[in-house]
Amino acid sequence: MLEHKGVSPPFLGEKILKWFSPPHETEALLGDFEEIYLDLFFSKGRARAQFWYWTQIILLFPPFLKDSIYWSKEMVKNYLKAALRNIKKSKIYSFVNILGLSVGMACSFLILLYIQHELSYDRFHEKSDRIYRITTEWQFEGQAQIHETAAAPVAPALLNDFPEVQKAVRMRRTGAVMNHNSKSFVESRVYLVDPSFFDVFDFPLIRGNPNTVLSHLHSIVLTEKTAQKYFRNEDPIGKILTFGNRFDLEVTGIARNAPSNSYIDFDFLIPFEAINSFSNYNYLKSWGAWNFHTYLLLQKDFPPSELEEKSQAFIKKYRGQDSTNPQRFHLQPLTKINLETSGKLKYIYFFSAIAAIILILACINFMNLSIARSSTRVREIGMRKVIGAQRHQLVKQFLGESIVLAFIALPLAILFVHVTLPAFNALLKTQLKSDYFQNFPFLGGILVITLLVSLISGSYPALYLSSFQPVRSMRGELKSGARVARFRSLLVVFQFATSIILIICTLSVHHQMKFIHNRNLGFNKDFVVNVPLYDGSLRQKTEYMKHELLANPNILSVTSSSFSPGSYPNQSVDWEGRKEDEELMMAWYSVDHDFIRTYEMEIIEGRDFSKEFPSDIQSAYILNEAAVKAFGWEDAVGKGFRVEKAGFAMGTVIGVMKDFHFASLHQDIKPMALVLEPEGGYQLSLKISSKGMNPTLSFIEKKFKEFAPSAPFSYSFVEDEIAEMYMEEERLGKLINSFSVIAILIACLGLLGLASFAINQRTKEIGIRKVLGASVPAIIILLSKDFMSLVAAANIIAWPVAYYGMNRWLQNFAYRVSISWWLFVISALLALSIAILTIGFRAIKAALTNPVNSLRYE
Amino acid sequence: MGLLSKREEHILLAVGILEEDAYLVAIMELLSEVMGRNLSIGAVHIPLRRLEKKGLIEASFGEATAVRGGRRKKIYKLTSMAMEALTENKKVNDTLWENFTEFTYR
Repeated sequence: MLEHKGVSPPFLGEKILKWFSPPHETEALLGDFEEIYLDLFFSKGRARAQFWYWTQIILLFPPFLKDSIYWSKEMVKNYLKAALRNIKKSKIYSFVNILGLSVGMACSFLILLYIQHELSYDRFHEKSDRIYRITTEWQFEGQAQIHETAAAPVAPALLNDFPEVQKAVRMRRTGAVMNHNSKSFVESRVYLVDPSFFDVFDFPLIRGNPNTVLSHLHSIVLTEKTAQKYFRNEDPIGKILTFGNRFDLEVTGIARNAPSNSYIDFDFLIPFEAINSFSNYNYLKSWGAWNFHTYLLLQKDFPPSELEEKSQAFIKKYRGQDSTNPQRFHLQPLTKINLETSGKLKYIYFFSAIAAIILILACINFMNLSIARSSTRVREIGMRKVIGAQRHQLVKQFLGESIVLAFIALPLAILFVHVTLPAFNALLKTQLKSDYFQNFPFLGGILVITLLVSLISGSYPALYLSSFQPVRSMRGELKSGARVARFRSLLVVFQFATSIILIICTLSVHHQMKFIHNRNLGFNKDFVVNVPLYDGSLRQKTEYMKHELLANPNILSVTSSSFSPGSYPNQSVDWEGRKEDEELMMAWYSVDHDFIRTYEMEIIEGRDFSKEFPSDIQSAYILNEAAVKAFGWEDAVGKGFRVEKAGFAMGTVIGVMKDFHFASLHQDIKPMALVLEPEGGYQLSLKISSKGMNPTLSFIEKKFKEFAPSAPFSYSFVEDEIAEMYMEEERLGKLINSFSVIAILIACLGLLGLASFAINQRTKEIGIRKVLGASVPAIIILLSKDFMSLVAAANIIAWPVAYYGMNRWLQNFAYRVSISWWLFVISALLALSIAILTIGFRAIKAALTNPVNSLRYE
Repeated sequence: MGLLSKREEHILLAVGILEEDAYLVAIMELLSEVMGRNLSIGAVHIPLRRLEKKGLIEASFGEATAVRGGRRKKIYKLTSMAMEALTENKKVNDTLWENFTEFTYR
């Protein structure tokens, strides 16, 4: 053999080998490698030797892995056996552990399903990564605003100027009344789209040719579901649907229903170019009406930022060099639209936080119980160590146990998910499917969560238990130092603090909702029914309809108006004494006579609209107090005022009404004007008597069928319309409510486990105290004292956090309750009583035990 | 204990043949020569480790040599358990071979 002359194997390779092999093998193995390496180096050259060295290292991996699996299999069998024995031996603890874990896991699984659904939006399109929506940036008074729409000619111009833009689809979602023979429905998901719709998106047609279905201006494509609704089992192709009583459309194709995770949720498709027949306005040529969603299919590898940069010049080219707005385009990826525009991102963050918190609570339970129980396992651990278990083996064993427990909890968690999914779907208005076992990303997700949970919850006990010294633990001596006890207490405090925060949130959301419900809105919302006038011709007949309807004694008052709570048109206004540079956009409603009477609103100055003054129509105004204040008028009645809308004259203010909440309580009451326009209202509002509501409603329906036989009839109570404005808060309230119940449940389980354990430990002490004359209440107090002080400490931590959070949430409302002290007292009492109930049962049982039995137990 | 795998049997035999010189590189070279193909280090090292854990071979450290960067060799020796296992394996092998020959020539 050759002497080596300063030649040595690759440094990095040796590092890997050293890291990889057990310490007692390293030296010989490195030597073996080096020997052959040197041999090759001198016989075949450096390159060959290097090549050999690295291939050998790579080839070492598979047998190495196989070997480690071979040996760990034996140990795993043993660990599994020990884990199962332990679970069986202490049934209560295992039950508490598994239940807590599975509830926590079920919560996170549900939330995982939800998030997965939200993220899956529009990923089913084959070209989804190349589809973008144009959003436009506008500058108003130095403030940038992003709008989701573009003008109609933008798309053809882009196609013309940029070869990288392969396809463009313009889109407009609209509502309409659809008629077929005597069937008539109000449809809200009618989409006007360019024919390229079928090239860009993956919405397959069941009937019809995608290239031609939208080629006539009078064609319409239906989804399977809607075709069924209008035509039952007849062949829909070639049938006629009437759109808004205005024009007939011929059915040319049937599309598969849009999936629930599609942002474009169409029921009907109409050619986009038909937009011009909607009004006299030429939208297709106008660079002024920025009303249309525009989707672009870009060439592969074309960066959207390039188009964004060139958009400024593009806009100037078509709108003129001095055009200021819109500033530029942004391109929003199709797959991000759902999250970015629907406000769901907020929900996703909220849910993820809740899922994390509940999982942590469950993990804490697990840690607490395992550490508390450790004293019963001291001997086992000592024995294992004496026989030669390394610390890392013990760590593995305890982690193994938590993995076993987590995987027992897994099927239970899936069961919980299955049971609660319908309620969850109903609450969030989602359509999450229960096909868990076909949903591979979800299965992967729950496996990761399960493993993560078992690792987190197993880690502290594993490190703690494996640190026992064999000699002392064999003597049964467990030094559970103050440090560990403090850590355990900290965990309980954390759990209860979380529960208390959630209780306070539940209570204050409830409090605010009650406040909203009971607030005097400035009008009487009770028993007012709104009936939309879908048929335009009905608006001319309001006087006659009012007459007919008022014949029923249970209909107290009828008016037509454009007022529905929560929505209001804004228009710029002119008023007497306005300075040159003053501008104001103001809410306004067109109403009929009797509007103020129907809603029982209050005029505080001047008079109501009246039939005695025919000149009132479109030129008399009633303002609210806020408007008078905004104009700085002393005496409003008789002042000149105008809503700057075509047909409205400069008129006079005839009255001032008390402020009422025409928008939600999120907002301050803003200036508002009422104008008399008997034919301007799109709905009839009827005040009905609380007696015989159902007959009254069917009377109204019957009458409407007489007025307009072909128009659909629907009605809504104003009270429900108002409730609609607070849907999101209502939903949030319910969610927090259920989450706090779960959090409390988990915290209680943990407390129950800990208390039972502590009491078991003190059996002897209790016996001796009783023999020496301690009373039962004294013992109960003794046993619960520690835990009660933990719960009390949790309150102190929870209060500022809850106060801060709720204060921020309440900022959303212009009209809100103040967070009162009694909320905190109630939640503290609630938490304490729950804790007392949990511990009390065990404590009483222990206190009542005959000392003879408890002292004899050894 | 079950039968040895073919690889394990070969390695044990090589360890026996090489006697005082039975360390990884030597075993690998011997087997490669007999089998007529190159074995990787892993293909010998890992079974050696397993055999050692099973108690079929014992290891001791040889002297340090300069050609190995001053590292000692790990020299393997068969234990009595290995002899039993090899005998057992051979018996099974022989029986099968005998019957196999009889069958084919009849």
